[in-house]
Amino acid sequence: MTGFFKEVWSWLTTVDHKRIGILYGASALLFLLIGGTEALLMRTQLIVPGNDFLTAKAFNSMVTMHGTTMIFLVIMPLSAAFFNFLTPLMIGARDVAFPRLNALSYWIFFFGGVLLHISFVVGQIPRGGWFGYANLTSPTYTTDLSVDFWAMGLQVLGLASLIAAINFFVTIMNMRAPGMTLLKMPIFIWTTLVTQLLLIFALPVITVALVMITFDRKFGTGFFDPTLGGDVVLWQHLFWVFGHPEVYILILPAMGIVSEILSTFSKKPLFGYSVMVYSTCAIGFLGFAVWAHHMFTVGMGPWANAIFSAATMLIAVPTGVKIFNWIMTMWGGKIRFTTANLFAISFIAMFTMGGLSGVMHASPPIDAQHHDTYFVVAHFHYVLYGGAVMALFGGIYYWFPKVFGVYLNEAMGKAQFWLYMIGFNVTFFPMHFLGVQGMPRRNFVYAADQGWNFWNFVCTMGAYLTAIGGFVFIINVVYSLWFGKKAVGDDWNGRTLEWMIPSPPPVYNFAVEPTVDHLDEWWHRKYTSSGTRTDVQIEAHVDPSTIHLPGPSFWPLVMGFGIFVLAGGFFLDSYGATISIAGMLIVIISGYAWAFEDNG
Amino acid sequence: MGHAAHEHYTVTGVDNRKFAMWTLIGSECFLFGTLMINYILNKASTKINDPAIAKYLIEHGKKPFIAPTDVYDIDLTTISTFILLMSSVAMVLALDGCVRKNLKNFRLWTWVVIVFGLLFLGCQAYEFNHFIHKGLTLSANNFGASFFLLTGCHGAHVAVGVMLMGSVLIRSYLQPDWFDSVVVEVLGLYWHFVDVIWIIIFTVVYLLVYV
Amino acid sequence: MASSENHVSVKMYWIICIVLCAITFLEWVIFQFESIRVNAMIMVPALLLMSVVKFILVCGWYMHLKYDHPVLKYYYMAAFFLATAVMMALAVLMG
Repeated sequence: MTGFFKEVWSWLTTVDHKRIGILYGASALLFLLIGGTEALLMRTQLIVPGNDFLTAKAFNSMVTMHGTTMIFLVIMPLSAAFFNFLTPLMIGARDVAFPRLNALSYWIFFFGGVLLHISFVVGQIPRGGWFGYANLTSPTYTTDLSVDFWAMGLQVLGLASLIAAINFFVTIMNMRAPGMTLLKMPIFIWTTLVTQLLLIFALPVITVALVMITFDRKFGTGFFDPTLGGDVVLWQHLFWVFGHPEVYILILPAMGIVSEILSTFSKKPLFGYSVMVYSTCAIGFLGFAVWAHHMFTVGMGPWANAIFSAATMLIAVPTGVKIFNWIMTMWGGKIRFTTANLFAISFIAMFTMGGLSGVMHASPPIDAQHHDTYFVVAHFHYVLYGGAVMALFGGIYYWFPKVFGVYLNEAMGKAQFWLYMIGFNVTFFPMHFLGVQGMPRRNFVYAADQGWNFWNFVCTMGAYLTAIGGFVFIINVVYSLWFGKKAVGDDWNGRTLEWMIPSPPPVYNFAVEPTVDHLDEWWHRKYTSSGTRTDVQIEAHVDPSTIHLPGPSFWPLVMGFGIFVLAGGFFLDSYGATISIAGMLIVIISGYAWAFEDNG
Repeated sequence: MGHAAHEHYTVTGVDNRKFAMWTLIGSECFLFGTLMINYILNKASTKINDPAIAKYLIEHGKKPFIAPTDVYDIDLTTISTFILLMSSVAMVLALDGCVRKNLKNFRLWTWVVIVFGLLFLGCQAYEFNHFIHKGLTLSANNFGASFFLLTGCHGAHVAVGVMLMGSVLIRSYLQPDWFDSVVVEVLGLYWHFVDVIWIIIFTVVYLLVYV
Repeated sequence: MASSENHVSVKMYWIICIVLCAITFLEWVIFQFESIRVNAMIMVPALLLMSVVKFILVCGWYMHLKYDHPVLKYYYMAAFFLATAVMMALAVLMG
């Protein structure tokens, strides 16, 4: 095999958490281009009233796929990229608990993304919203396969996340370096830990819901069909019991990243570390108690509304505590305004704004005004884009030198940051106005005499500005990978263990598995209590063949493909069952091959 | 497994594979919990939706409804519950045989787990067949739909367990010196959990509908 | 780490087996009496109590939770109670 094919094969069969992290990150950014294009298409349709750039059906598909893509194919895998790359490094381990299972998660995710996008190829793009409300999704009202692509796609993606969550939960609990107690773990590891628990507990609920809608569509059950004795509201409950923890799954990793970046670039430890830990746990736990705030206008009655309203306002408390802790981390610190830090600081402001609008519609009477208007669109984009996405970009700039051994260019980084910040705010701030002026969500056109024309135009301009920022980022990545300033190891004078090894890390991570005595262990090794620098250096390279590591395997790829085939069978009427059974056989056979593989 | 069992240092002292199985079990609490609540919410939805089945029932002098009490046979279900409980006992004895490296006991009790697991599945198959003959299919009404979804999911879990125990058994014949008690213990945890779910199903799904 | 040491004797396994069988038999027995069967006040607490006992015996002894590292027990209890709480809330909300 030529060198190229050998390289490709090594990526297809890798079980190295660092490479899997890169695979997740690259995939996520690719899907960001797709999801971003979907957004631009929507904004172009809405640039003027009564536009005919997109048909209603196409627009609904854009609404659905933009949301589905950004949530499941961008934010979650981008977060997974960080979990994968950083978790073993931050806890002082050589890899995760189950390296091949880790690769499997990636490949299932990959095939899930492919499955979802085959819908484009066959012209049956999901158009029922990212939340797939019944009974629009019933076989009566959506006769083509678009709902099935959405349901099976999500089912496959959910499986990937669940497997990864089990892997990371065990890794964090069981493979920390000696001396690293739970309260000496980096805060990012805490947010990762709680996120995995949320995934473990929330995913099964949507798994069941998706099975139920699939059965309604394929096997004639009537779970969500009132004419058959079912209930459409049941779908909403099941979806949001998953859906609400899902939004904390989206935001907690970002919060962990922000905490790490802020403390490094303020040259101060995170303020109130243990309070941050308890707040994270509280948010995770309470996240299961607030789901019906997405259903205030359904008619659950005053008691239900009041209880969920109170719980939702309660969850704002630990969240607010975190905001104060981040500000106090910076207060009195020696702040360096690197691109990474700009993203992290902007998170605090943007997420706070999103949190404020969220707390407003935590009140049911106010929500009755906000619900299904652009006010809600503004809210969740402030927390998910101004919040999570900005933080994730901060993480990219922060850890890029560690992953690739070169820094991203700071000038281009700052250009991207400002284009994003301005573009984002220009797009989404006016949506607060549009919302209270009554503009409904998910409508492909609006009339010219509603008074919404000006702000819609402004919003679209913001979207185009953001797209330019995206281009700058792409150029930055390509440029830096070739010409970027070399990184050596402790690329930002960091505090956590990943900064004590070379950049990029050797395949074995640590030459000697570290022993930990403190929180921010690496900082404590570098500086005495009086602040003088010790002479400790980053770890030197050693011969990798002296360190035992698990070998590569292609069974995860094969099994992932088997799951894809299994899911695919649901789309065909005549040979569907046969294909699904074939897929199951591939899974079973690859499972046995995997179990008996001498993987080292 | 295929290589020397990797017993790394672990912070908790619990093997990674065992920890992972417990983690999965926690997740499955939510899976079966959702299926159970779905059953509880749908068990009163007894009106037959399928016109052919409705016609069949009316022709036989019955109303076009099928409720749990019309089809459940508690005697049979009690027997299958016993069978599954016995399989759990066999499971701990199989593990005990493995830990003590007693090949005869290990194999014997693993056989018992598999046989009883298959007997349980046989009872389920008989019961499902019986219900279908009475007109209760997946699409007959939502009681049927939610019942089959829940018990079908449980049955699928039992089937997977039987397959995995079968693999263990075959391994013990092909490699008589293989006594990986961690693997057997992990499978045991899975098996007991599936039994625990049945304990709850027996009460909530079968017995409590009569109250 | 070595697999968990055998804290539970084979004799104990059989005793628990007998108890599990006895409880199941008792569930069947009280079911035979029409008058008790329809009495929710007796049946619901009785059946729930019996399932809980079976549950604790299988989890604690067969699944070895009583003797393992407490983290497993806390995790499982957290998962079980959270799942139960969410499902019960759902039952109330969906009436």
